[in-house]
Formats: sequence, structure tokens, C-alpha cells
Amino acid sequence: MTSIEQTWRYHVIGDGPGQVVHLAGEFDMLAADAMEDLLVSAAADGPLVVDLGAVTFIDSCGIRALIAAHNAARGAGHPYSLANATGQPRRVLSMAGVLDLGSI
Amino acid sequence: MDGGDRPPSPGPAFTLLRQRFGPDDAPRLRQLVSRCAHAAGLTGRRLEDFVLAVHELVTNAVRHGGGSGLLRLHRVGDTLRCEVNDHGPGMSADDVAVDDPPPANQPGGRGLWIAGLLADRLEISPTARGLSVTVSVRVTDEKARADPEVTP
Repeated sequence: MTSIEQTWRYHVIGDGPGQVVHLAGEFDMLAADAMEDLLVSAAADGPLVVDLGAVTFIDSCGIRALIAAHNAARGAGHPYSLANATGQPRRVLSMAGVLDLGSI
Repeated sequence: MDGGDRPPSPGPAFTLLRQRFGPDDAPRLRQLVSRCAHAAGLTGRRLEDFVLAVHELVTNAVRHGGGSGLLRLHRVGDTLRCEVNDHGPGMSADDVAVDDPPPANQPGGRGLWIAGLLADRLEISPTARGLSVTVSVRVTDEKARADPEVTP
């Protein structure tokens, strides 16, 4: 098929514990594979907010990455939350029962 | 109608899309499926749900079905059917949890559950070479129903 154009991006605000990771674009299999380790280690290191405000699409792999980070945060006793999900991501996360996962 | 014993025929099948895919093709396939399904009359949230359901089939093939597969989108009567065939080891019905959601803290195992939830119908069957998974959705758009033979 055609050349591959990256359909997602991210940036991290904060240096050290207490980070906000902003995700943008399509949080699918390709993005989740690349982001899961970063999210898990950030959640293990300190409080983490994952801002989904610019995410336009999420699938089961994106959900998997968010839950893996949640589990890492809980294991380390750190606060973890998902923020600003709208549209398709909000609906799918809600359907899967993980929208309020961070509220622990 | 001949009024015989046969069940009513759903009508002829029109192929809207046929694509082989590999590990990196999911984003482009979503666009293609969205365009074709929209042209066939699916809109709004029903379209969004169908695209995600198909995407989960593609993802499942890439993840568990040998990394590649074949996607075919058909229109049969007022129903869109998308079949994804992979070349993996297949799975038994017991392996596929499509009825109940996984526990909220379990990271994986949601793909086909999501597909089943979003589509009107999900069918899973083993093939000689792997697995065939099909999602179907009815096109409810009145205009499309009035002109069922339209193809993009």
C-alpha cells in the first residue's frame, strides 16, 4: 500500500515525577505499541495525567495501553487520570468501562 | 415474490472494497472503509461504530492472525458486511470472549468484544488457512434504501 504517514503524536509536560502526557491524533495499534512503555514508566515514576483532548480515534489497543498505565500507577500508589476525552474516544472509553479508571 | 418455501433472498452482493493488508495498513483501511460505507449510506455514529468494528477485525488479524490478511466489504440488500480473513492459528469459540467485557483492570482482550458490541452481528469461523471474522450492519439511510444498487 502507500507510504506510511504517522497518524498520531504526543508531547510530555513536566520533567520528573508529576507529568502530563498529551496525546493527539489516532490512538490505535501503532500508537499504542509506541506509547505503552512510556505511559507505564511515567505512571510508575509519579502522578500522571493522560490528556486525550486531541485524540480523534481510539481502539482496543489504545485502551490496553491506558489500562496498563493505570495498573502501573496503582502498583506504585500514584495518582493517575485520563483527561479531556471527547467524541469517539470518550464514547468508546465509556463503553469499555475505563473512562473513570483514573479516579482511584 | 414466488411465495415458496425458500427464505426471502437478501438480494445480490455488491463488492465495495477488497484489500490485502499488513501490520501498518490499519489507518489507511479505516479511511477506505469509512469512505465506502458512507457512500453506501451509513452515516453518523453508525458509521463511526462500523469503522471501529472493522478496524478491530483488522487489528485482531495483525496481532493474532499472522500479521496480515484480506478485507472484503460487501453490500447485500440493506446490509453492509465486512469480512476479514487472516492466516493465523485460528481460535476456538471458547477463546473469543465476545459476550462479556473483560474486567476493567485487564489490559487486553477487548478487540472482538468491541466489534461485537458495535456491529449488528459478529460471526467468527475457522477457515482452512486461519480465521474468518465478519461484522454486519444495516444501512438505515432512506435514500440508500430507495436505491440499493448504487455503488461508489
